[in-house]
Amino acid sequence: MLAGELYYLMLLLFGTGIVSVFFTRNSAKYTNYIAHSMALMGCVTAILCATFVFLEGEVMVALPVSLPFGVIGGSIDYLSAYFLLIVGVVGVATSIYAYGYSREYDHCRLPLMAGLYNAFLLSMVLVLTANHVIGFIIAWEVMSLVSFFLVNHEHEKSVNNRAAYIYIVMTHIGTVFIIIAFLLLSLGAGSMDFSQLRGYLVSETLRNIIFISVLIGFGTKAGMIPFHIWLPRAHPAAPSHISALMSGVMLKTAIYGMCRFFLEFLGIGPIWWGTLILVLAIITAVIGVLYAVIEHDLKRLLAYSSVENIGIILVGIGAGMVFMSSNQPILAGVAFSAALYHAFNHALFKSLYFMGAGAVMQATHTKNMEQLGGLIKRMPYTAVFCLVSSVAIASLPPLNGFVSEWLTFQALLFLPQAFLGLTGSFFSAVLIALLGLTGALAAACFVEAFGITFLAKPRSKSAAQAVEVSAPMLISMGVVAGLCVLLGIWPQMMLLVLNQTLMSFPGIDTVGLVNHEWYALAFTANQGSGGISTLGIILLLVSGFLVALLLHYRFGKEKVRIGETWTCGIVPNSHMEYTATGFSKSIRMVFKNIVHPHYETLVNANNNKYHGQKLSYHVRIRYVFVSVVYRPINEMIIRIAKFMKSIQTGSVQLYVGYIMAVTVIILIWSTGW
Amino acid sequence: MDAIISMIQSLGIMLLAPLVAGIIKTVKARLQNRRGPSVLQPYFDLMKLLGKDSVVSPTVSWIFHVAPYVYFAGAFAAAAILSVAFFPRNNFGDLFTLIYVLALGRFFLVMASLDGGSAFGGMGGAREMFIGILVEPAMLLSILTIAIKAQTTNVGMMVESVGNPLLSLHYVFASLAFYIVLLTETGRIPVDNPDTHLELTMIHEGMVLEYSGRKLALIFWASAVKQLILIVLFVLLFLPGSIFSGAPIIGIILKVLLVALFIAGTETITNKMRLFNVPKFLALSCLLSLLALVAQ
Amino acid sequence: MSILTILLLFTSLGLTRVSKLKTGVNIILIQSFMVGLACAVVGIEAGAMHMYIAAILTAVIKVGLIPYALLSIVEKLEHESEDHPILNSNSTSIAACIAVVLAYSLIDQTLPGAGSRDALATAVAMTLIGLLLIMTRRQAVMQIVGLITMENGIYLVGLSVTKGLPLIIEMGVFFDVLVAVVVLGILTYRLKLAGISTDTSMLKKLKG
Repeated sequence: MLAGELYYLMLLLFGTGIVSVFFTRNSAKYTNYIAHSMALMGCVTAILCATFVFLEGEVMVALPVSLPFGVIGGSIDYLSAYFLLIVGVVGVATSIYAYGYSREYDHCRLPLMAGLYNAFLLSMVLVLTANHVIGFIIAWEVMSLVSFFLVNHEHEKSVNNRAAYIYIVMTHIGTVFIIIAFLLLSLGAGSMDFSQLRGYLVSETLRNIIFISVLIGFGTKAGMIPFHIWLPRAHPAAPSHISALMSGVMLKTAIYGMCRFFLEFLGIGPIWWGTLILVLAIITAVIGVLYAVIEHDLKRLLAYSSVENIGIILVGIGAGMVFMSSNQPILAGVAFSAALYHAFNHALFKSLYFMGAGAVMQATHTKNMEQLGGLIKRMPYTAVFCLVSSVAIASLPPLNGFVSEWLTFQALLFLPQAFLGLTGSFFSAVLIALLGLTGALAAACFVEAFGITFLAKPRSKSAAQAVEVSAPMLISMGVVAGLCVLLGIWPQMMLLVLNQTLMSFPGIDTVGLVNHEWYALAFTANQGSGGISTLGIILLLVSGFLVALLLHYRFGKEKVRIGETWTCGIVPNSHMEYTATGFSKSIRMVFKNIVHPHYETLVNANNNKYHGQKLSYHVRIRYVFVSVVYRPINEMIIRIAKFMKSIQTGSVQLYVGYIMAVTVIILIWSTGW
Repeated sequence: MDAIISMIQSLGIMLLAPLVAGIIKTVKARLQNRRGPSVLQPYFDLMKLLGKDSVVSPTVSWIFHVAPYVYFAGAFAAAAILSVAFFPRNNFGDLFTLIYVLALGRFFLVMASLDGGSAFGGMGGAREMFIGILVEPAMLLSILTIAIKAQTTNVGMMVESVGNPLLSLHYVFASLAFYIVLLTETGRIPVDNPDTHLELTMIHEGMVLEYSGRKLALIFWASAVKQLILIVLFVLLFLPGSIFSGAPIIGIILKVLLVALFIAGTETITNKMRLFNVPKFLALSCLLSLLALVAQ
Repeated sequence: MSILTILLLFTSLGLTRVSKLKTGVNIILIQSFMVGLACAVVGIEAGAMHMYIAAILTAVIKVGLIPYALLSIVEKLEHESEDHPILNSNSTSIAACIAVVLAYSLIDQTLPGAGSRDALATAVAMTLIGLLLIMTRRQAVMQIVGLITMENGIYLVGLSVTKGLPLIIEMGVFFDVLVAVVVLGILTYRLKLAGISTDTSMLKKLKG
């Protein structure tokens, strides 16, 4: 029962964090230390609480308040504990990071930000542990509102206002659908308690409606196409540690909601559910990473990359649901393990890169990659951590991205066991090819991101004068980087946790994944099987490295001369370096039907026409979803509103006349005349 | 016992890789009515490079120094994975591991090319990633024609499931598709010209323009190993049929030589295509793979 | 009781014909007084204590405070009068009669054979006439008068249906209208201070 006490302690710590801001609001230093320490301790408590739940068993905590619609309380079952673990780990990292990063906000409402940060963590914890419909919805709303204020923290810039506005509208559209789903379900089951809703059999059409509502509702929050338009605007607008939390953890609460609905409430459904999710997910992944490659704003790039990774997680979920529907528990276990493992991994490596981007921003005050460069020499540690993150995002061995990506590939490979015949093979092949495409695009994207930002010469003065950031930020990044490496080398640890998480749901069997040595990741399922050995990969890579070193030094000490990079005889300067726009040009050209780039070259002919003119080159991307889906909807709404405006004449008497007419009509009608 | 055999095999792949590269070069020369270098020339090149000084630009950082090692380690690991895969009952020989380990090497090498701070390096690196993006789905699709049927990506098991088939349409399609991928990944004409060092006509060579001396030797050797790995994969999966049932290794070696000759022939007959025609080329490969899937 | 009912109906119909603001406020004073009296009568009949409290409250506020405030406003509005309402007084009277007929038929439809048929019908008619006043009068003070008529009507419905609503509900309705009247009063006063006419149809110019 220790987990129960830890849960109360955690809520108390976050609450103290929120309240303490009032008392320390005059001193930025104390606000920083106290509020973030409270958040840090709260997150540590969250990790401990989740660990104890895994060790001891599920926990129910009930608040001693009885409200008219039932007792509101929390319950931490294994699924909640898993996501609580994610919140805790990323929260610890961002809290330590915030010690250093908040100095940037000393004169910009730091107490408000610190208080809201604690509130954000608290609301996410409450969302994950709610066991009553009303409690969940209240916590969800609080989370949305708090994150809205955090996104809009620097509201002096109008672009942030616009971003926050789009965010709040989209998240409320999602909330509407979530409420619809919950209400339909509890109407059928007759209760609003989660434990009563489990597995309740509602009619077929109602189930489908609930499924679609859940998909749209939680998909909006997760950033699924076509509801993703808020993501690339909101993440750059927020302060970096908040972006890390939003991208790493808040998107996962949406995944948690989906898992809870699909695994627990709706149960095993028809096969088209999983297929629909698969199709949407793979489109999300491809389009997300495509837009990421063509970006040159560092944080927008990371935001689009989050869209891609959510797509990969949803691929796992979709495949899992397909396998559940076709009665293949082992394969369903593989798929859901892939999805949840990738959720954890994404939380880790994306928050790491956001923290790195925040460090870069603090050092250079710009997030435009075209103005950065050469930072690896000035900010060596940040560069190393960002490199770890890049390798992880590109899903290369031996880091954690590879493990979850491999599991996803395996899940897709076995799809023909669910869809028999030619369609199955075809579908599976296309999905795997597209997933491979996203992996390669992600690798290209992060080579570009890391290379242009950190390598070669600095492209602007602010980059040339960058200074390494303070120790707390580096420590936090280092911890997360270490975890990335650990989860890549030791997959069995995660698989044990995942086994316990998924064990309680019907139709899933993950036992096969667990019973191996610590480095192995293998399974067998109806004449098929697969496996990788992370130890083997590490050993091979290390021995290859050693062989290379051996070769290098076998022939005596090398004589090295310093010679400038070859640039056809001129002294190289930073203008000759490759730019981010140039790096992605070929990709823009190949995918121009999706991306719709629009090029414009302006010639400034004022200079001497014999010695060259100044050219400026503009690339404009037409964001397809905004222009094809959302703008027409907006225009239609505005047209309807204009049409309805004629009712409003401004005359008081006419309005009262409306009231009277309606009253009389109702009176006559109700008496049945 | 198995472990020793697989170690010998991976060592063999590593040591014989430059020989295969040399054979391709010499055969190409003879086909073009030239005398060409001797087949052992790559070994001499390696020894020469290992003894030379290197010139390092002051712009570069530690990534430039580390990248060749990582690239070599990737190729080494891939060779080991491939040779271990001859014994199907273990967890080492997974195909995705192989592909991604090679991708790890490429990742670091492209970053090193950006590190030099020159436009050539950047362009070469950008194009290498571009080709890598396009080749990944094509390679996966062509391998999937076998993997989906075998329901595994363990290389050994896939080879087992291929067995001894008759010459059928879907095999022809699949092998053509993978042949196109082979040409692309190893940077042969019609995709890339491995012989010239003109900045605008090469992709792989442009990427390593800044390297010299021992690091260049490592990269050169690793590229040759990668090429041989891909040829061996092609032979194992798409040219099945055992010639000498007693010692399958001899059959494989003969088939590798055959493929090398074929590559040399292809390089002689075709010419390098425009960079933005490469997507169409690879789309052809994807189409062939899909047709192979359908024809199964 | 039935006398009071008849008188109430007369006052309501009379309100449709006033054009001077002071007359309107005076009539509403009489009307509120009669409602308070009806409340006391019902209290005596039913013997419920809280009716007396309600009666006294009505007397104090609706007969004392509100008309006093309204009269003081009207004093200041020397030049305002209901010259040209939207429906002139004859048409308004005819409409009020139609409202009475409607009320009677509604009550007959829903509660046939009710004991307090007259009181109920009068109450519903008063509500409708109040709405009518708000709708057809331009002056702000006349609209306040219409609102108070409505409130009286609703109060009367409560009285005649249940022989005394629970105090809480009466208080609720009461304060609701009180606040409305206060707000309107302040508005009118401010309008007068700003020198603008209290003709509410002038508010139309505010619309963008």
